[in-house]
Amino acid sequence: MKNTSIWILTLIFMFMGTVGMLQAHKLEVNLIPHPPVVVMEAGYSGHSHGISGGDVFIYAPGGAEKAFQTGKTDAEGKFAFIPDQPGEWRVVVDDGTGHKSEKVISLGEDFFIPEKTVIESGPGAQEQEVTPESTPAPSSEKVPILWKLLVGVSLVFGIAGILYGIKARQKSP
Amino acid sequence: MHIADGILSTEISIAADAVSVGALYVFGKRARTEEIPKMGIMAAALFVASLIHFPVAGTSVHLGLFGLAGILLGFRAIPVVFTALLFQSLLFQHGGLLVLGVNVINMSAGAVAGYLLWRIRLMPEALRTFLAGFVGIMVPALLMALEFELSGYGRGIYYLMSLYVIAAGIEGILTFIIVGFFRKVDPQILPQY
Repeated sequence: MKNTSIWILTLIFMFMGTVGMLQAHKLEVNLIPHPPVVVMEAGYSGHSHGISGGDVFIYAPGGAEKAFQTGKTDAEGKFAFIPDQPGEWRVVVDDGTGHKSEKVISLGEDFFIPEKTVIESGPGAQEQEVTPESTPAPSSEKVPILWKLLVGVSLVFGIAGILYGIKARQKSP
Repeated sequence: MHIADGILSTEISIAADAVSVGALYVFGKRARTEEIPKMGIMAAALFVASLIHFPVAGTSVHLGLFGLAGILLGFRAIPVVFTALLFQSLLFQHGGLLVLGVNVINMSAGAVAGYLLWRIRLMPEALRTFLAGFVGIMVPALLMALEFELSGYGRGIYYLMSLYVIAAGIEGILTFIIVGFFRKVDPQILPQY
């Protein structure tokens, strides 16, 4: 009888341990609004690293059956999308090994208001909307220093040449 | 060494612009035809020289070649300095456009000081050449410090002169090497005073 009780207790502890392990493999989805983007992080509970290569399905508000966007999570288990309307957005993640999770994020009108930033400090500071059109051009589009150098040297030589020509013409009878 | 716009008062800047344009006209007009190619090459050299930087004491200094311009061109260095600084300001924002006159006066003073020093035949040519390159940097630096003090920025800028001493030393050595090269290869390039 005593041995039977020990075996039953052992089995109970083993079962509890198994449940704990099963819970550790639960797929968790976290949605972070970061206007104009929503960032999704997917990972197993109890693990610090995310799941990479998981299938992601984004569904627009209104109970749409067809996914608004599909894709796969990156190496850190992240995925990002740009919603185009307010409402409840549904995100489904499937890791391909039987784990699936779903989460809904509610986005209000304020999520779609362009971010404002102070571009000048001090009195009379102005706010400017940061939109793709107002974003400064990347540095690669600037004129390279070598081109400026060539332009400058060419202009100097050009001016010297013109002056030389004028002087020479004045000198000649 | 290039003063930017908005640091000195507008009145001083405009007055200096008027003086530098006058100097450009006077010394440019009198230039002989055969001097113009040399002036053009020197202007291009001055324009490029400001892009050659040396790291010194946590910051950087750049070449000027004002002393060399003074040795080779004398007072003709003034229109050369004007042209080089104009394009440095327009293309690289080295120095402001409104204070172009101030910068021209400062750096032309360095070139003219180098020229006058180089003409003193009492000293050996090697020493004269080095000193011409040296004062070509130090005179503009001192003038700049003086202008900052007169504009109410205090005397702090004078303490930065130590950096310019190093730059002036490098410039003096470089001028010595270039003039030595000219003396060896084609002495006709150097003016006979």
